[in-house]
Amino acid sequence: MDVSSEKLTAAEFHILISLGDGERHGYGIMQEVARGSDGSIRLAPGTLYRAIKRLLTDGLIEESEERPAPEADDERRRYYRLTGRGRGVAQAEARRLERLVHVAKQKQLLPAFVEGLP
Amino acid sequence: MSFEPLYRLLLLAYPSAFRRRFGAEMLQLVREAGNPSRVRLILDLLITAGQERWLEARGRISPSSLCAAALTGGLCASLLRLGNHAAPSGSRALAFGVIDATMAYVLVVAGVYALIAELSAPGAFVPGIMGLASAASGLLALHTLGAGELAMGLLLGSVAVFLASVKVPAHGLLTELGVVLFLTGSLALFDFGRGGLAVSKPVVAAASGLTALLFTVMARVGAAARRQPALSGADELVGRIAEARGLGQVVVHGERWQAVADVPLFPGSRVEIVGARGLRLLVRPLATA
Repeated sequence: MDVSSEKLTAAEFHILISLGDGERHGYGIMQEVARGSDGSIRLAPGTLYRAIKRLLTDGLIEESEERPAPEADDERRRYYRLTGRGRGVAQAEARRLERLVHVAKQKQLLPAFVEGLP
Repeated sequence: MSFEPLYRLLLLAYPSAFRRRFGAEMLQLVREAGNPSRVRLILDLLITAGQERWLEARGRISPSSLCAAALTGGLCASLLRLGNHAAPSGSRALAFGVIDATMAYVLVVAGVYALIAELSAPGAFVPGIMGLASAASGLLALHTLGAGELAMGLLLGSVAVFLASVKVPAHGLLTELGVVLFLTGSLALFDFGRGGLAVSKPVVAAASGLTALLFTVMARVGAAARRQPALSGADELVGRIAEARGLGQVVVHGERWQAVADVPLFPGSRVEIVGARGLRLLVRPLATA
C-alpha cells in the first residue's frame, strides 16, 4: 500500500512527528506536541489516546518494550515508538505539506512575500 | 475537591475494551498534567467516548435510537447556540458555551430523559451517551454559574434516583422520591439569583410539572399492570381442563405440568385445574357422565 495515500488527522500527524526522534509515553507526547506547535495544540487525554489507538491499529506506531532506567521509570507508563511504516507515512505527509508550502510561496501567500506587497 | 475521582467515574463512558487499554494511562496523564481546564477535559472525554461508542455500536443501531439521539443532539446544539448568542462577557465565561442558567437547567432535564430512554431500552448507547453528555454539561454549567451545593446535591440525587427507579422495583417510592428531589433541587436553584443569574421560573415549573406527570403516569401504569391477572404461568390455568398423564403429570394447552390431587388420577382422564402452588397445579377429576 502506498503510504502517501494514508489519511491522517492533525492529531495523528502531530503524534507521529513527536515520536520522530524516539519513543515517548503519553504525557511526553502531549508535551512534545505542545512544544512543537508553540503551545497552539494541546492534546487532551481522550483525543490523544483515541489517536494512539488508531495509530496502533494501523501499525504506524507500536508499544515499546524497552524501559528507561528503573530509577527514572514509572511502571504505569507505556512507551510508544514509530514503526517503519509509520515513519514512511509521516515522511510522505511532511513532503505533501512541503509541496503545499512551495505552492503557497509561489502564490506569494507567505509573510515574506506578503510584506513586499505595496 | 480533587478532580480525579470524577474523571475516573466518567471513564465509564468509554467502551470497556478502550477503558481497560487506555483508562489508567488517561488517568495518569490527567494527574501529571497539573491543572488544565476541567471543562475541556470533560468535554474531550465525552466527545471521544461518544465516538468510541459509536464505532462499537455501528451496525446494531436501530432507527428509533438514531431518532432519539438526533433529537437529543439537536436540542443540545440548539441550546448551546442560544447560549452563545446570550453570552455575557466577564469572569463567568462558561462551560460548553452554555451561558444562561435556564439553558443549563434544560440540558439537565433533557439528559435525564435521554438516560431514562437508554435504560428503558438498553443497547442503543447513543441516547445514553447523549444523555450523559447533556446532563453532565448542564450540571457542570450550573455549578460554574454558581449554583449552591444544596441545589446541585438535590439535582444529582434526583438523577440517580430516577435512573435507579427504572431498574429497581420499589412500587413507585423511588419515583416519588426522585420527583421530590428534583422539585426541591429546582427550587433551590433560585438561591443563586442574587448573583444576577436565575433560572426561568416558567421553565422550571414546566419541566418539574412535566417530569412529575410523566413519572406519576409511569408509576400508575406499572401499578395497574401489576394488578392485572396473570396472562401466563400457572395462575392463568386455573379453571382450565387438562388431561391426566402418568407420574403425577397433566397436559394442558400442549404443556406438561406436575400436578397433585386428593384422589388417584387415571392416565387419560380429564381433570379441572383448581389452583396452583408454585409451578405445581392443583387438580380434581371431572365427574364422568
